[in-house]
Amino acid sequence: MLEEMGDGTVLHVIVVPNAKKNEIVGVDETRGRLKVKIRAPPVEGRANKELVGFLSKLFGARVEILRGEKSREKDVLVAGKGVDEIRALLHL
Amino acid sequence: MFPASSFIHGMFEYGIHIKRLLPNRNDMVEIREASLRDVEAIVELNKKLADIHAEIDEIYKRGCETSKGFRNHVESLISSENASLLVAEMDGRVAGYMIGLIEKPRPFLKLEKIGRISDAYVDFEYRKKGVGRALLNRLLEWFRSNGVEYITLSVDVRNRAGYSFWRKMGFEDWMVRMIRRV
Repeated sequence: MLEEMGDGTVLHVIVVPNAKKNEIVGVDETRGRLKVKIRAPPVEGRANKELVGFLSKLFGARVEILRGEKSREKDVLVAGKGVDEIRALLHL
Repeated sequence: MFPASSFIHGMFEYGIHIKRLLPNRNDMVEIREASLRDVEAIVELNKKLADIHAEIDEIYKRGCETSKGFRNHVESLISSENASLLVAEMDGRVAGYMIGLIEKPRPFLKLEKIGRISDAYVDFEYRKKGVGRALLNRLLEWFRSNGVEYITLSVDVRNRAGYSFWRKMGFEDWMVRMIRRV
């Protein structure tokens, strides 16, 4: 679910679009991914854009989608944050 | 959930017309959107805000779950599109914070949305340095960019420092909140 990469951390997430609000709702244990609800629909990259904006605001860091642009399951890099820091911030 | 405005809810409310733009006189202070790493600092500042108010009136005394509730509240605000949680950083420390919310006004009003400052606090050692003013200026930009015309806030009239600050920032007496023992 969290993987160290360079000076950042890769988050393995599963995105639920068309949600009432943007929020991290917990861990999808079967997939081993962080479940993230996003308000935007998965149309023309809107959900991806909102996911990046949401996570970068949350962590106060640059965020980039590494894999899964067209999938609900995505790997997202949070630059400059270690695994332990992310784990603590998310109370994991 | 813990109501953010509990500690500054007082007897009076003040409104401001949003057209007013105040200059930022202090460039030593960095104002930025809060992220999760700021939550603990904000919770600590909120405790101080609560303690000051508890000296004014016992109604403000904190419960044992207050910090936990406020922490959850702050975390949810960081990711909310209808909230702006700003922190002021000085000397690498969080010197103060301010929370702005965009809400639906009461149904009888023509306004579609109204802004509210639910929380604001600047630590004692960083006062008189333009930190509060800088926080407010940034928050005004956010309100303006979201099409908000008016913002309100509540301050306990016995909180002289708070009341005087908001008056200086252009807020005017607007509505009286009343309280009595049952």
